[in-house]
Amino acid sequence: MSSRFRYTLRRVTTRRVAETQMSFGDTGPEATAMTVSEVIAQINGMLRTELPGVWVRGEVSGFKGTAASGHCFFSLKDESGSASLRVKVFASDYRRIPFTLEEGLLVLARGTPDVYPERGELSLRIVEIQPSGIGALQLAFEQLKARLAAEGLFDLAKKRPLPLLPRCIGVVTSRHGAALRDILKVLGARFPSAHVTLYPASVQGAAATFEIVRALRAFSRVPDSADVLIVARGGGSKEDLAAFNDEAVVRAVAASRVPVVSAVGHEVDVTLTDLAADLRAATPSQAAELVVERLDRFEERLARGERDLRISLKGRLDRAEQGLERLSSLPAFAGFPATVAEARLESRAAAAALLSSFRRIPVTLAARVAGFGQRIRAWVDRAALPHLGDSVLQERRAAADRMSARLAAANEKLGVAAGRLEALSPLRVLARGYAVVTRDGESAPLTDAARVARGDGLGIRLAKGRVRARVVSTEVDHE
Amino acid sequence: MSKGKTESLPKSLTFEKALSRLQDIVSELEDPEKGLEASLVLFEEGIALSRFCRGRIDEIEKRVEVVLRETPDALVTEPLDDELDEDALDGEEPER
Repeated sequence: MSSRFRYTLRRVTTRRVAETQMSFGDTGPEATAMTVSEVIAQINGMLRTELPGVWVRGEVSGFKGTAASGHCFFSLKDESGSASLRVKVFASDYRRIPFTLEEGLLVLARGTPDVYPERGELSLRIVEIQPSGIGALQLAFEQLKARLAAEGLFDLAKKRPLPLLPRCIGVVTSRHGAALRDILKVLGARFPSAHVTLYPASVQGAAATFEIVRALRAFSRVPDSADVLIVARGGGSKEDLAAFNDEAVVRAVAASRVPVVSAVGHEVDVTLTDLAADLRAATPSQAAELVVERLDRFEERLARGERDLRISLKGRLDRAEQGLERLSSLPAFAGFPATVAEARLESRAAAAALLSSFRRIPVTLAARVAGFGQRIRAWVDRAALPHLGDSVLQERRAAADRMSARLAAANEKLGVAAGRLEALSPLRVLARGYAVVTRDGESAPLTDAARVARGDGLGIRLAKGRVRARVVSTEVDHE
Repeated sequence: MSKGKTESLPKSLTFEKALSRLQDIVSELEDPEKGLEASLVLFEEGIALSRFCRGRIDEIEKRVEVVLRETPDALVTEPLDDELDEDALDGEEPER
């Protein structure tokens, strides 16, 4: 046991052990021997001085996860397999490792070697581990991606639609970067009056994670500071994009109260920030295209909406006119001389006059239609907005003028038709001794004796005044 | 009068809702069964919505600002008017 210990010591320690041995001869070992504890304490002191926080590259070997205590013990070995070193990671340090350790993984570990007194075993107490090499970086990326995906940070169901018209566009990127320049250039062309607020943040280097997170949180925290965010960085190496794969940044993107468009690197680089964003743009320029529609498209859409409104309403008015025309051929007028049919009135007002000779209607249809005409003209004028070019305005006024001209023409026809009607007015017919008989509760003239029975109430309209009567008997004509 | 109409639009109206309602109104107006009075009311609402949308576009003032610092309830900004330095690309490659 003791010889094995000495062997271990010689393998591990350096110069000063040799000095101790040299001193053996001077005063005799009995007087100068150290206790095992003393030797180990001295070794540990030397190790702390000589190898404080050394970085070691090695493959994870004998990895079995954490012990019940939460600490973790395994070995690091050279890829050749020719050297191996026990390591321990205390629970508090283990939790900070940004990826999951795996057997065979090449890592960079930082720690201080020491000897565990009870077992005399040398091990490296590790406080920090990073994946080493491209494969390990990729693995760490995949692991973080899987973990965040499991938490639902990348769920498609959580993606929010971007506002159609952002009042303010927040940009998180470097103040002096290509990304900002590209974004401003594109926005200037698409929507010249865009309101942009840049929250400057380093996009690479030690401060990047902190600054990007700070900016994202600020836009979330301050109400109305932005309606949409662009988080951007121009192209760079995989390592340059590291901040956008950092867990804190990815979480800040996912937690943003404002919808986020990511534009990191080139099209081929997909970062975790891209996955957490509401929308991913391939480049900063594309992000600027995605956050706002071209101003002229908005104008176009509104102009089309207004035009469709006018066309539909005009169609509706035309149908109303036709409906009024049909009124003149109602069965109510069927019993009158054929000349009434000759007076087929294109004008709705004529039909109204005819109707009102039988019973009063509160507002004549003619007056209402004429009123609509004026209102339509007024609306069209009001709807004329400074945005629209003069030509559109003129076209609109011309349309309004055409419509009012049509209404004026209709009203004129109405006047003529009303004059003709006057001659044919049912009242004149009545003056010749005819009467209009209606059954109680009906407005259409009664034209067939078969439609009434003994006891039914009747109304008789004479040239002057009305008579209420009751049926005593009926005689039906048999043809 | 038209101003009164715009004000009668719901307070919570968003640009998106206004634009989509405007499109609905156009389709509704195409319905031949729609009464004349109802059509006129729709038309007036449609025009009000269109004005609302244009108003929203007009409200946006061209501004490019940079955040200097934060206060508890605001971002303190100044206009970003410095020349963008084409040489200092902060390690980024220009877009291809």
